[in-house]
Amino acid sequence: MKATQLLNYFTIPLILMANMAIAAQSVDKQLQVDDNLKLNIKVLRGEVKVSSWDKDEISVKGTLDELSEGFILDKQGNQVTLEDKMPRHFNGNNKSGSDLTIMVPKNLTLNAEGLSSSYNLSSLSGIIGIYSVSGNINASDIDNQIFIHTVSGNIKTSKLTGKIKLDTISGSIKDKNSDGEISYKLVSGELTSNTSAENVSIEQISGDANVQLKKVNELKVKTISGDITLAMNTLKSRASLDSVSGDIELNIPKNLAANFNINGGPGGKIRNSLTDDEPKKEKYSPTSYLKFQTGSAGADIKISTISGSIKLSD
Amino acid sequence: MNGKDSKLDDLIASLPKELIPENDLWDKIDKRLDAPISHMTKRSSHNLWRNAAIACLLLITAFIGQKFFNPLLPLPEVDSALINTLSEIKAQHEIQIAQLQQTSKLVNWQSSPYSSPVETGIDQLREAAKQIYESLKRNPTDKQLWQLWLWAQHREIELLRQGQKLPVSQNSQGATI
Repeated sequence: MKATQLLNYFTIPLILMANMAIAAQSVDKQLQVDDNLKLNIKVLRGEVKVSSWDKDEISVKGTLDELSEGFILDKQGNQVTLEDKMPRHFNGNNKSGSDLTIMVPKNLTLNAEGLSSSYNLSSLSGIIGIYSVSGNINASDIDNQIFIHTVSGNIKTSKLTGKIKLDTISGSIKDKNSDGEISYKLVSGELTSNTSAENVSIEQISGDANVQLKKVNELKVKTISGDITLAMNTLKSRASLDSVSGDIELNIPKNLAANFNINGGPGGKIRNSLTDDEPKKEKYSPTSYLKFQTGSAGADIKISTISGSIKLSD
Repeated sequence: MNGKDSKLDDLIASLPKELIPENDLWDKIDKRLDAPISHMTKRSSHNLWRNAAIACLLLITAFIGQKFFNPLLPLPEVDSALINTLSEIKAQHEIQIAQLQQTSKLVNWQSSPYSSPVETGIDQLREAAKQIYESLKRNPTDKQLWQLWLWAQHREIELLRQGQKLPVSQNSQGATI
């Protein structure tokens, strides 16, 4: 009797340990790939790191999800699919998810998706698309075409170059040292950016934004109720900033040559600390306007609001 | 001739030397003259101010009433063709939204745990679109306002579509039929 009880004391932890061993199933796989690699990654939970090396080979190392139904590494021509297969329905949190490090050739077309999985991407070049629902996405040192979308996950990027689209619903976007053409789309998330991009588009609904721009060619800003503070060193072509009730603050150097056309709307306010020009009211309308020119007026700056405030300063 | 003159002289001679009134009214006139003048002046002066005040009040009321119901200031001329276009686009957008929502009800009958921020965003866009629409009706030639309005509509559709693609709860096993 005592021997049976003793056996049970040893057996139960052993069974549990065996389960843990299954849960933390490790993976270590390599695959030779062709030029023009098209890689699809599907990891629903956990952490995924994607980085480049100078080999025509994909390497996957790490552990699979606790509920993983198996790891898929499939190659069809230049198209490779990498998936940590999950059951149709599952419970649990992100900590129980996969933990994978994937090394890829630098030039590729990458399409990665996840549910709560966080992606860390670095040193890539090509068409890079990342979609995660609640996972965070960090991307650095990537060029060509980059599209990152989350629902509630935060996006943090640095040194992105090329055609960049960062899109989130309630997550935040923190971007620094990007260059090229960039588009930020947010609903309630906050935007913090320090970019050298020449063509910049910002669309936000209720989130606030703080954006530092350097050498802008074209700037488009649309906000509903979110406030935005923008600083800009130079403007080559045009800037168009519109808000419904959100406040717009534009900080530019006094010597920036531009035609200013500010529409304060029926309920908005215009404050100009840049020049001595003062806003005027239309004769038969409550709308206030401010039009003036600085320097030889090489660029156009149009700002409008319905009920927000517009502030110009240096 | 001499006969006529003598007749006239007789008639003149028959006239009384002075006219005496039947009743002596001087006492009454004298009393009236002695009556306090200030009393009468005060009353007439009071009436004058009252009438002036009423007149002013009527004028002010008329002015305010006219300003309120029929403004004296001319309204800016409104381009009816643009207003019609505005209404048409609004109607088309509403149809498109209704179709999308109908599809959503038919296909995605399970709610997503991630849909809340999307729905909030859609509501905010709709409210903003209403404000922009009202501003546009007053100023339909404002190109920038048009662009903002069309963008708000486009973004609403975009968010609706994104909301439809959101994953449903992974814990849910679906309804038992």
